[in-house]
Amino acid sequence: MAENADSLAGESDLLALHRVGDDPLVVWALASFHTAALVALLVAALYLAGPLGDLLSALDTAVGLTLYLGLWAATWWTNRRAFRAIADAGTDSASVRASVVVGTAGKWAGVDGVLFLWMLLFAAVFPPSTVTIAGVAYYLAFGGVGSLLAFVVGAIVGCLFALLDLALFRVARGLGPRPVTRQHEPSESDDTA
Amino acid sequence: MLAVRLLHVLAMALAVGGAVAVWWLARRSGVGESAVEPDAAVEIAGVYEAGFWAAAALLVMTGVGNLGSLAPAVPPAETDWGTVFAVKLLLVLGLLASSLVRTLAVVRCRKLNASTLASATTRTLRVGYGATAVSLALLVTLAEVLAHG
Repeated sequence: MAENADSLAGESDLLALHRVGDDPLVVWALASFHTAALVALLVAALYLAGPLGDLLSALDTAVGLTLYLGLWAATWWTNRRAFRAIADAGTDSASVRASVVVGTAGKWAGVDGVLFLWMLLFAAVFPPSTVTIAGVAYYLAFGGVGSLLAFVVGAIVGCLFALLDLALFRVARGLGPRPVTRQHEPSESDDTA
Repeated sequence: MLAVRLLHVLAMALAVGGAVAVWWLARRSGVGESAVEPDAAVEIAGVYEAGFWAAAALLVMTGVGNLGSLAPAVPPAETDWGTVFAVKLLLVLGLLASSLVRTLAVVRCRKLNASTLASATTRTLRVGYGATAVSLALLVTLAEVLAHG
């Protein structure tokens, strides 16, 4: 729905981002962007470092595609929750600070990292050949410690992506149409001057 | 593997075809008697954006799948193939970032009263989708070079 252009003229970048955050298209675009860009960056880093070919040959195509779809879905869900948390923080400029946006994004990206780790662990052991108590205990202990690490890594990646998102949003505001501001209208005093 | 390649081609067809179609609509917006209303152009652009991001994420996924068919003998970065591949990855990352800018601009156009901002709105759409179509065509060319030399 169109909004009053004048109300958008003086708002900050953060308030402008806050305003469009309830749009499902924004959540969908950000989730897809984060997933695709992260994977493309990992592929580029692994390719330039050398081990990409060996890693891909060890990865089954169906498992790889499933993990990617899982990461995409988890990223969409955590992005949605992050925007909701930012919206709940308030709508005034004091509530919508960069630290709140980046911090909330980092927290939910950490959750995303934990979810992806458990997908990886599930893919690694499924279907289980033998189930023992010691094996399950090792699996849970590894998953527990790994979850902490995955949360930290996910949070760092999420904070970096949040900073990038804010920068790209600022560019979008600059490129998009600007609300029309009222021009100075000539008055009688102007005519007599 | 055939299904992965088919999905890759279909996703690219959707992305390129949609970008060209919205660019053409934006060119016709506000011009002549049979002009497309700016509001309608922005709404159609919004629909394309949803499809574009599905296609973009699928393109990256199936692109890695296609790369896997070369593994473990992926040509190293020092070769001509490696240089073209590195350029393609760089272009993909640039296209993803610039497309997010384009999507956010479209969302802002939707939030604003597009009919009172017809000129700026159609210019944003025209430039955005023209640049997207050219970038995607360049990516297709690089993919052709990587596949067939």
